[in-house]
Amino acid sequence: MSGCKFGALTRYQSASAEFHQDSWCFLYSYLAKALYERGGFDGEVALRDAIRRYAHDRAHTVRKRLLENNVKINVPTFFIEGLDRPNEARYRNAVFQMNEEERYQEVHVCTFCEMFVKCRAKHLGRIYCEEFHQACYGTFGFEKLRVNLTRTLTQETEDLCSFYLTYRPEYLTEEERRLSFKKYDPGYVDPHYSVKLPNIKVCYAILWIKIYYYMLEAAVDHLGEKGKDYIAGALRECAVFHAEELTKLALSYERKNDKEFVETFLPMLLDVDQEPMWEEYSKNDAKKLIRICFCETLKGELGL
Amino acid sequence: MSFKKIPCDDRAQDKFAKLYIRLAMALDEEFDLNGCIVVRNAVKLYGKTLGGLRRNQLVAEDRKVNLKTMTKGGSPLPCGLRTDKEWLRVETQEMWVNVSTCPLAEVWKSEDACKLGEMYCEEFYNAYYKEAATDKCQVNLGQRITYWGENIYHRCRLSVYLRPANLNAEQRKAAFEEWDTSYKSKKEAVPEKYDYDAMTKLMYACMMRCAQEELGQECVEKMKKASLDCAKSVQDNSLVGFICDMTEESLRDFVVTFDM
Repeated sequence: MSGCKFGALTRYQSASAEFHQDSWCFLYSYLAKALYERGGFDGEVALRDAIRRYAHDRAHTVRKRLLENNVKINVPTFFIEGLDRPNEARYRNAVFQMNEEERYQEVHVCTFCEMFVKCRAKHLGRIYCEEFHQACYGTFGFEKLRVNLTRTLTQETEDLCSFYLTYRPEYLTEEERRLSFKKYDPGYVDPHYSVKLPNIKVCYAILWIKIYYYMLEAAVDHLGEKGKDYIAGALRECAVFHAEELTKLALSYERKNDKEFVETFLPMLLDVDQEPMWEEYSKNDAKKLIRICFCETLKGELGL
Repeated sequence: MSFKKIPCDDRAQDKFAKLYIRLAMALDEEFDLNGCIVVRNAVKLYGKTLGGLRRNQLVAEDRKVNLKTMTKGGSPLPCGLRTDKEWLRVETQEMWVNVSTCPLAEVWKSEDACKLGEMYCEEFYNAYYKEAATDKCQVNLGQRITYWGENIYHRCRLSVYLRPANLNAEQRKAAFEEWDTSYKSKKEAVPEKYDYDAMTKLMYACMMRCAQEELGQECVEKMKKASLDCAKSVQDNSLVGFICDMTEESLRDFVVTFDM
């Protein structure tokens, strides 16, 4: 399927693509740590809620796109036509079974998990796994696609993730069945739709902004102004960590850690005024906070 | 934590599995999709009834209703010496178990009806845990014994989570000692009740109720006949009598007031 994999990239291009994803993981880890460690019990409530809000947003976006293109809503379409970010080369999985109703999959190497470990946030990665997949896949399937995630790499004693998804016609209303399965829509003509993803940087910028936005929103909703302070602090720490990682990367590729290098590797735009998404994701001073706490800190750390 | 093998009437458990699968097969064959909807709804009702019973049992003994108290002294899994369970984790918030031999699956395989057997597993555990604990309980059931594809696993894995952070204050208090400061901890397990003769009757009642609601009298008559044939084939006179005696109204009462 064209446009969905990293494709034939140079190692440098691959590294930047990988960093887009890693950057998302760093961001999640720092924000989650702030809520979980500083926010106490209500912080955990906020964290779980934020993940679910993020998952719902992604799922609704994908489902809307598929329905607009007359694509059925079922298990394979979620993973193929519904893709909203490119697959990546470091990830290792095995799909044992996939049809319109089921998918049985194991993941043996997950770079999300590896980055959570790197940020000493494996336990928070586990919370992500526990909340995200249920909420995202479930929402996509009219709240009726069931996720059985019996094992995850983010659990201390596990060495793989085990997913078993079920999406049964019996769960659905007549209209949902028609929208989900060809056999319940006799006149259906396959639109031969193929997802055309924007470039990797844009894909991850969207996810980056969304997870940040919902973390902030849930923090404010559950913890009030204190929650906003936790997020602001976490953004500064995350910017410092990004600066360290980008410096290491620049050194390894014998590049100057300048604005061009940072913008190649960082998914989001450092000049926030150039990013149109902030218009929609603007609540709670999200744009202002990211500029002051993340962008300015990162620039300061790197002397840009 | 130690586990006792729960006394189990193997013969009755097999009869339960047989009645379920014969009714599921009849519904699938006669009514296709709508029949399968009846099967799933019936299993949900059956699971909810047993989950509610377990919750009431724990509450009556002044126990918190969480994954540890529910599992200690029993579980909704198949029972008896023929069921091989490996308890990996049993905590108040987390329960993981592998099941590597299952007498229910054996019956379903012998009837060549694994897909319909899976319907039971898919619906029952979700309904049971969500009714016993709360609907915020997350039930994950994967790696099925009943799956005959090119699968490397011949076992079921059940991973259930009950997180205080996903519950409201009242639910937290009902589930966890640490959220109820006045609560005095009790160590003894409350054994789960198992009576597969009664549970077989409950499954029949749930099937009939859902058949009536979803597909009406024609379906009810066919299910009654299939149930009688099954009960006679396993030589269960008590079940035959139950099927013959119960009216639509008395079946509804039977489900609502079910106890063992």
